[in-house]
Amino acid sequence: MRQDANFMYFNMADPVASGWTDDGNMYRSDSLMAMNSTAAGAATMYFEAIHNGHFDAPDDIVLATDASGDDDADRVNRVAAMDAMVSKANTRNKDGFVVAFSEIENFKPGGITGITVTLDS
Amino acid sequence: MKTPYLYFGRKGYYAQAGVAPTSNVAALTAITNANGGMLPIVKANSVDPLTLGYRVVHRAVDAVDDKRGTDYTHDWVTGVAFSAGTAGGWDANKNQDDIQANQVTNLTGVSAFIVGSGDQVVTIGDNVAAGTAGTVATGITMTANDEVWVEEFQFNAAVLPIATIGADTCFPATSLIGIEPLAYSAGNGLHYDNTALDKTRLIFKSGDADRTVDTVDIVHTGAKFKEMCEAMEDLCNSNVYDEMTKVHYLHKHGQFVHNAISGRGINIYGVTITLQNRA
Repeated sequence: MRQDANFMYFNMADPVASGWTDDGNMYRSDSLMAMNSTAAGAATMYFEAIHNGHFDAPDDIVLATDASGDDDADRVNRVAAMDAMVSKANTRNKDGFVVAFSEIENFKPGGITGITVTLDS
Repeated sequence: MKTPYLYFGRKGYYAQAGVAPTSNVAALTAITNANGGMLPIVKANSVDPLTLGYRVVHRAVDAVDDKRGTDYTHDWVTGVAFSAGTAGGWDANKNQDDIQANQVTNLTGVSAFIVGSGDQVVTIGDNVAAGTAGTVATGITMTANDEVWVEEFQFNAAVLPIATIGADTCFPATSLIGIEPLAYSAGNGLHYDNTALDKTRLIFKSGDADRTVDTVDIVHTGAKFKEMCEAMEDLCNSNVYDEMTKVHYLHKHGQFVHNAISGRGINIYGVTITLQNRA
């Protein structure tokens, strides 16, 4: 069966400096289970954990956004970040994965200023 | 597989019938995310209610004389003057400060109510010059049968959460497991304009990965469960893939409701988001 699957690629830092531990990941887009706001200037993506086979907690990717404006501007920025990730989750690139966010390549859609990846352990 | 993603923002809505005054004030039950979908922050006597993004509304069941503050002159729903008497449709010819059954008062006086620090208890003052809230002008003296609503209507930091867990959520449409009707009896199951209300629960596979569920509870126009299901079916089968489909949220100017819902004659009064085990 041919898979119509999309993979979302993330990295949050220079691999030479970081050794890649927790700093980069790729997920099937259909493992994106939910997103929600988690703080001023932060929304979190929840993916099915990929490393340990557990089913008790997700891998988290926190999307950092600009919170320097008023509360409603902060809300709008968080929504824009989540909008951008939905677009990436629904993008097909049959020649390779879809870069959802890359610090290395300075590819930062939706006004996302940075990400923090936390793997379930 | 492409899928739409559904976005929901919270809207606080709390109703309580039967609040008896003691010591010149009437304290509502503490509002929580569970019973009202919001956490109003502390409000002092000096804070203008018009700056808060929510309103506290009183609806009279009993007729009592001299119990309404002089600030309030017109019915909040109909706009009819309280002093209009039988010509305005009221039961009797009474003064403005005399309360008659079914009169609705939006408590906008600066000292009309206070909210405790960290306890989310809304305390409404009597129309007397004593007690911790309310004055002859701003207070209202309730009977145990009267009803009170606390209704959020704008995105405002006076009501939490605005940016933390429970403020909003987004799920892939493929995670919608089912929809169930729930009983809604707060405030006798009525909005302050006498509209009958019902509640519907949307059940999603949880974002927590723990084989549990997250829920979005929606208080809406009564007898519209079937229409809510139709709206969700429409949204789940839409072709919107490049951004979230915004189903409901509050912004600084008011409320957004997707036209798949509003177009079916459904008003949304409250949205409570319950997410399992989020950190």
